[in-house]
Amino acid sequence: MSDPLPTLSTADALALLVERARALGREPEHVTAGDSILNEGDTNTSLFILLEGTAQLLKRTADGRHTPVDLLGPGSLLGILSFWTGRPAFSDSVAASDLKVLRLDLRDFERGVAEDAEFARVTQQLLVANLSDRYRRVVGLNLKVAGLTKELETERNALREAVEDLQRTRNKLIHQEKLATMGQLLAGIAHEINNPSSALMKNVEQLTRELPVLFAGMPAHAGMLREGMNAPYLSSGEARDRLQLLQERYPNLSRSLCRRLSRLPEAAMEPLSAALSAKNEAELEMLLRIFEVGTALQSIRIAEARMTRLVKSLKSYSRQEERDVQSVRLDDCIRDTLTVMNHRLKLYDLQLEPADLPEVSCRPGEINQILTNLLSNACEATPEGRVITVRTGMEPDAVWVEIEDQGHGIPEDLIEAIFRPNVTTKRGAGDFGLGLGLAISRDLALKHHGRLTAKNRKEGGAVFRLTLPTV
Amino acid sequence: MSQKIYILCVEDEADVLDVVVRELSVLEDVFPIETAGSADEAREALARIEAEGDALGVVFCDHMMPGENGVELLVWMREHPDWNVSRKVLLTGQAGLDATVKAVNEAGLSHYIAKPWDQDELVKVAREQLSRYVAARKLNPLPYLKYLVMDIVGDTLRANSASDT
Repeated sequence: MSDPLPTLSTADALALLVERARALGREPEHVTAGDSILNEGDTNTSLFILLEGTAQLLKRTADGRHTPVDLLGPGSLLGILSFWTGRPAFSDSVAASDLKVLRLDLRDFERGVAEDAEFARVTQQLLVANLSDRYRRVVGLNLKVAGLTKELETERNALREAVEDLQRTRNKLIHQEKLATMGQLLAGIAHEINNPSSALMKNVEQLTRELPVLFAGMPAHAGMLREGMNAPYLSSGEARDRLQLLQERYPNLSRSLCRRLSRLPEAAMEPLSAALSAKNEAELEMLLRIFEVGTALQSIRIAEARMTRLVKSLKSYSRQEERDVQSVRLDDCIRDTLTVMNHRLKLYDLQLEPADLPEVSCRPGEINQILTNLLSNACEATPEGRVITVRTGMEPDAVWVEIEDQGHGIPEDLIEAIFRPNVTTKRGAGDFGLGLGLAISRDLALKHHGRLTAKNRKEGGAVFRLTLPTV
Repeated sequence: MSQKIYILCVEDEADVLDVVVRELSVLEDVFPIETAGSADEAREALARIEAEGDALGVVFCDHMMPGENGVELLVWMREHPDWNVSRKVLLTGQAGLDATVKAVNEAGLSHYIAKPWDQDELVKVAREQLSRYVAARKLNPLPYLKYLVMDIVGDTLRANSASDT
């Protein structure tokens, strides 16, 4: 067994190879920078040993472009695969700088290995160095690919999150846009109602003023009109008792006549009693009609006052376009929201527990939006006829309003999640069906430097609390 | 004296109830009117009618009311032997599709009037429904004839006249 021969440096190995190749009749050749040494796909019968300079390996891609795949320096073997396997060249080899190469064909190689131990030794060393170098590079590349894949994965996740975020933002914007449109619509309706409503009011005032003048010469008639305009409100129970009493008192009168009489306060019965005992039906009818004109005027006045209140609430409720912060009482926001939502809320037993609160700086339209959302959720959660409580209170430097329902409450594991977009505990599509109500409400609360929190009551049902700072 | 046939009006807003009653009172010399401001009051009114041995011909009922809503009251009446055959009319501006479907399917709704209504329409519906009630119960139509619709009670009238002779 001989000792393993010492490994030569690349420069020594190349110098030795050039020397031994000379014995085979091979001299180093010169290649000018940019010239091609091998073309991908060509048959190749030579092995090129790079002595000086740098060669570029290029690989053709599917779309015909040449992509650089490797740079090789002195000591590298070019055409190594095609030379030994006889298959077409695997890649292009181009001189990246002026080169010196040694070209050997298969016959030279076989002769050299067979006859010259030094030649065999040096080519073997170069081959092993080339192969191990390539292998190391493959391993390095694999590692790089793994790193890139991971990076790509991270980037893809970030991108996915960004898209989801964008979608959420878009949904929110759509929702806000819907609400803003609705606000404008409400303001428009309020404005449109306001004009005929004012006309109505003015005309009723005129009638209220003028009718007594028309009856100036007829004190009994004028009195009936006044009674009508000021007739007290009777609950349906009271009205029925009064009807029954009159039917007993005047058994000969029809039920419908007694019903008409039942609206009159006892004190106003006197002029009618006279007509009744005189059986003066024409006078009785006249007096009753004047009384009823009075009650009609009163009804219009009450209805008109309701409309005015509604219009006022609609206007202040819908001032969403007002971006300015105003100093308002939370009670006013609550009142406006309750008025606007009256048609839904009247199906529930609404309990108000107001505290005496200082004003807060806020955008009232946005606070109304939060309150509407909370009340709307409470209505959906609570069976009709059950209690919904609206409570206000104070803590140091803050005021709060609580909306309490008698529904099933919130599953404990969802108590924070419900404030995230697209999380809903409702089975049907409730509001706009986006599950955004609470997410937007919390955003609005945070924008006001406030808080929106939820908890379950021991007795069942959920409580939402909106807290707003007073300083 | 024959059995009295009542008209019942159920409406939570007193002003509106007043107007309904005023407009229907043209029928009151034959068909007395009872009023209620809620489903519970309606049951009390029905109990009074029953206690007097009288009957309910038709109920005009609002839907959106505090407490029990109108459709629930009508469903309850449908299931109650005394009020099952009474005609049931919804007079409302706010019954959604679900409530209306329930009223038709489960309460045997006879007619639907949307607010705001027209007095002539209201009285016409009342007369038709009262006629159908009289016909359905095969009552002698004579005491109520003044406001009945002949097309509806004609057969019943002939049958009664035949049994009289």
